[in-house]
Amino acid sequence: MAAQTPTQNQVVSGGARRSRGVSASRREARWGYIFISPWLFGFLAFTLIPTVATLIFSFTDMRLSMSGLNFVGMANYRYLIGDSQMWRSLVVTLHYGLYALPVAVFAPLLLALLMNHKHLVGKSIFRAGFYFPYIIPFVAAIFIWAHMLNPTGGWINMFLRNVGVSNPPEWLRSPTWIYPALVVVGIWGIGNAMLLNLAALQGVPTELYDAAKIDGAGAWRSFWNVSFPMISPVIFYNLILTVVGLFQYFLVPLVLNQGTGEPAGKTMFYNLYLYKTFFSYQNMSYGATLAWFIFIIILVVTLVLFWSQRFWVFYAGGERR
Amino acid sequence: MLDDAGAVVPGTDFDATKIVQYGYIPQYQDAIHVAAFFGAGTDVAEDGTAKFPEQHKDAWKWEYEGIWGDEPFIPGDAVIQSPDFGAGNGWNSGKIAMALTQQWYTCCVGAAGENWDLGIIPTNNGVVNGRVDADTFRILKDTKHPAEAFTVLSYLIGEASGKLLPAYGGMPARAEDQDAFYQAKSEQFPWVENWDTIKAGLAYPDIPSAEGYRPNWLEFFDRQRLFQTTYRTTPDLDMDAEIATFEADATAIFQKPQ
Repeated sequence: MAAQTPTQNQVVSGGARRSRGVSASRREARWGYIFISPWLFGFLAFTLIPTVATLIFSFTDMRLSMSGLNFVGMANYRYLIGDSQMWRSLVVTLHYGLYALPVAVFAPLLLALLMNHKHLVGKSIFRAGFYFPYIIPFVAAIFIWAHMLNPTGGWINMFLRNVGVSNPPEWLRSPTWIYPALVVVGIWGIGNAMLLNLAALQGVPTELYDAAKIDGAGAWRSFWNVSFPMISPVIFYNLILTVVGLFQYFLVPLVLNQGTGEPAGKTMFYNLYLYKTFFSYQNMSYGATLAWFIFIIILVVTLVLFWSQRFWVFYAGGERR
Repeated sequence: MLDDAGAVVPGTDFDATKIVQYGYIPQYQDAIHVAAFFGAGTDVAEDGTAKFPEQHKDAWKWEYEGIWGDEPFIPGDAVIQSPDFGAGNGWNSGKIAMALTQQWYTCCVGAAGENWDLGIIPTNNGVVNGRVDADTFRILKDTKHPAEAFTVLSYLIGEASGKLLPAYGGMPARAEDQDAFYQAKSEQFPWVENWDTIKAGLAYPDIPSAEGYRPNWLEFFDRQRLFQTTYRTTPDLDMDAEIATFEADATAIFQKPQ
């Protein structure tokens, strides 16, 4: 039997199918782009172009009242390196991080462990109760906390006086007590992180606990050898968000102390200094320089954290990212 | 000063943490204003660095000693902001004997009673110093509408000044309007006798002005305010070191790219 060769019609027919296929694929792609074009436009207009623009501005002496750009080379970056206020703001941010970071990572975990405890009665009520503050606008919450921390009429000092503390702290005006006060305010919004930890805890297979129990593990060993490794990706995720949030921290001091840096400069966080440089001092080019510098710091710290996860983050599928 | 047990300064029984009556407050006076009352002077050197006059440093140290010294007579920031002392409006609380403040403050002394008057400012080393707190309107050099702005400004300082000045509480700069202004003040506060001290004070203006131009003014203003709240909130502060830090920061601000 002679080998069959494709006829011209078959070739044409196959080509047409391919052509129709390509055409359909292109049409699909075109419609895809049309559907995502609002997002693409938003991304270009509100993210990519402003990002590139700030990089360009950092090499200029731009002012809002100027019509053109005057390039000054690395002048802003040279000033940045010698800017004592910038370094102080960075130290303030890191100093506060020593208080805030452990609390922001471990307090939600502890709460989640409590919410997940088998003997806890009324779990739903507690879970909702701890999550509710998260849905209250944070600025409103800050005002509430400002009143609660008021040295004279605030509930916290009233309570302290009632239990015998005759001279309770000036929370928001004392250089010593301001960071603990800010941490307390921050605890208000840990509901979301608690929920993520709780979801991760509930996703740990119960047979692992059973096996650990058979092996003689107590509560602590079960947590350390079973729970912690299994939820470590979520802890890592919270850690990344917390660290990034720490370097961008400024809303609370802006509202509590009107962004003055009081008391004694202890609340002049890096991002607050950046914000004031942009919007109070209207120094756009130096503000852009500060923004790029903190971006680089956050990027480096985040990369270090990603590198560190190989030592303590456990992925059940064996995948190490 | 008087504590809550009735002990006064100086006295061995006096408790400085429980003062109920202070002697003096530089009210609504920033650090640069406090300094000017010890003698006007510029803090921008010819080379563009910051160099605070010695009398300004003396003024800040004097206020600090008045707050945190052995015989405190000036309230610190926590007291100033407390509701017991007027939540910022200290002299109006009736618990502070004297206030150094601007004339426009007559807007806000409703609760201070009807037994107070104006007085001249004590001298510093025998020299009389004053300060003119001039709130002015300005036209920005980069405005795209200078002519229109000038027209509006002319209206505000001319025809509209009769309404604006009472609202601001400021004394009219025009001599012919001043008598009417003080007549209105006298009717508002009939027990005050020494209105003439304000006009007399005009003979001792601060030259250069405490609010005069500095490079990057807004940032400098924030920094001097932070300096002030630092020394008003921090006992055991090394004021010489703090002033040196302030001076170094002011130099950096003056020289910051604009």
